[in-house]
Amino acid sequence: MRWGTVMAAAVAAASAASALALAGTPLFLPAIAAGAVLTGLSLLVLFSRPDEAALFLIAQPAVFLSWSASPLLAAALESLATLAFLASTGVFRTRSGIVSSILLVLLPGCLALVVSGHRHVLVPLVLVLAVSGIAALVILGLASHLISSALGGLHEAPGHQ
Amino acid sequence: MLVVAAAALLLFSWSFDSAPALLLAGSILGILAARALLFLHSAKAAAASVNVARTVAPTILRQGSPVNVTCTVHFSLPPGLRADITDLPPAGAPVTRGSATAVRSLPGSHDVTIAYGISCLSCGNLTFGGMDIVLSDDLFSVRLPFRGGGFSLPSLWVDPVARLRAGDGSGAFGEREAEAQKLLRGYGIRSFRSYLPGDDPRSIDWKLTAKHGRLYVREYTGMVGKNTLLVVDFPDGALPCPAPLHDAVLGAALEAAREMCRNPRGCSLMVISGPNLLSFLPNEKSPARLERALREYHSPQQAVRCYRALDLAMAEVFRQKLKESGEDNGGFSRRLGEIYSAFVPAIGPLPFEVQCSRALARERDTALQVLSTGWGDTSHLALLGFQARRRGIDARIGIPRPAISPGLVRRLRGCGYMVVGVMA
Repeated sequence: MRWGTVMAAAVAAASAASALALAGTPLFLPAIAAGAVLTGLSLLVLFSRPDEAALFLIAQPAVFLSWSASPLLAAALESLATLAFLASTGVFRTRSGIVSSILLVLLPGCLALVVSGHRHVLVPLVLVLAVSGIAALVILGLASHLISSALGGLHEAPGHQ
Repeated sequence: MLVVAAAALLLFSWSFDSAPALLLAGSILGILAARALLFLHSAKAAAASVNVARTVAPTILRQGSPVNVTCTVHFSLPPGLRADITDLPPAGAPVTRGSATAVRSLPGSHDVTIAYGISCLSCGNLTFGGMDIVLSDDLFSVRLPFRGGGFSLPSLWVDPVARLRAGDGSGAFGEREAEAQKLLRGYGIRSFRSYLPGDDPRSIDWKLTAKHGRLYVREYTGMVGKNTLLVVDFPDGALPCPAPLHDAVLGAALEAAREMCRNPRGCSLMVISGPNLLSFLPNEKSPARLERALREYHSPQQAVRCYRALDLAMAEVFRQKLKESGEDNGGFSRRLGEIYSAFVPAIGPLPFEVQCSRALARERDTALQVLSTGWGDTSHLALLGFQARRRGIDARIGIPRPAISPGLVRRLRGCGYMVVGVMA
């Protein structure tokens, strides 16, 4: 299978699902137009320069439109895009990768739950920023620990002591 | 790209109070965080599996010589990662052949061999810088600097290169032409005389014969060999001596020792640091031992120091001179004369003087060759020079070019050194 095909398929699926869900509403025509543009863009990226991150971003407007039909559908489509993104980068080859991916797809659901329960986005926005900051600190700490352990010569070459 | 999109969506959701934009921004940030954690987990596994084995030939070499380096790196690369491996040569040793970098992108266990050549321009004990491995995937990269321990081995010993320029028409290390008839014939011409039956026809000087109409023969100078005592004076390791001076002395000493150990009597080497005798190898024929002695003491700590140390005989001369002049001038000269008179009888020979005296008196036909930085106090060189002069020994001294000055040359000549050479 061509590199990035899974992501392109996910973009097409998200576009079609959002258009179908918006049938009979004023957003149906914009959804059809957006779906066509996004699918064309994804094919262009796929055949010119395959890039999973770009395809993942291309899928986002379709998810955005589907929120009007149902926040649950938006969370499902986001999960689909996330799973496709992770699958195309080879994370599913290990058991820990599969477990982490399953945990990760719960994230859009939780977010949808938090966001849809509020009339305004200020409180969820502050929550997202706080969690993102903590996650960034944890990641930087782990990276620093990894670099310092390599720098300190913890991994001695055998036979050269 | 993803971070910019997430930030833009966050701004959009805050400005327009849009719930779907916040969902998308949160999802993008979440996937970024998850990918970062997964990447760090894989990088940790890859870092723990790294083993390095480096072979270098040769490990003892001269400055500027090429060195072949073969570095084998064993590591396991998790799926989705790419590794850029860079071996770091020692400081001052640029890569002259091949490349010290290799790239691997396929998952699995790898044995990467990096072969390249370096040229050592620095001197002394050089260790490798280690190894840099850059792990990267589509979104993140991390540089793992492996330093110290087994990643820096083996170390190289690089000898500095310097030459002592021989001057004044005589050999630097013991051989010289003498104006006398000797068993070994030199290259110079001592005199001419009339041909006598039995003379070697090859020594007939045909120009003189043609000019005067009778046969003339050349009498050649003779070659005499002296047993040279090589004295190498290293500067104090605790004081900041300029590296070029130190390297010039060590390089010239190694060169001289290698040359002299080929003589039938071998090389007599004395390693000193100021008035401290560090090593004495009489008539040593093994170049390895001589080199080891020079390398072992190349950066010594001086236990005893001299500062304007006076030779006993010279002090006595000063005292006499002050006594004579003190009667005429009075005042300061008389007072100084009294001080000299008080402490001159108390001056005893330093242990260093006794050691030098014994080393020089060991054999007849000894010559003295001193190699020194000429940096800092030089009174121990003066003591050595006076000892040589009293015994009628030819003393020569070599000083690195940056340290040489007319004042220093004048002072050393006054201390009994016949020739002050320049090390280049």
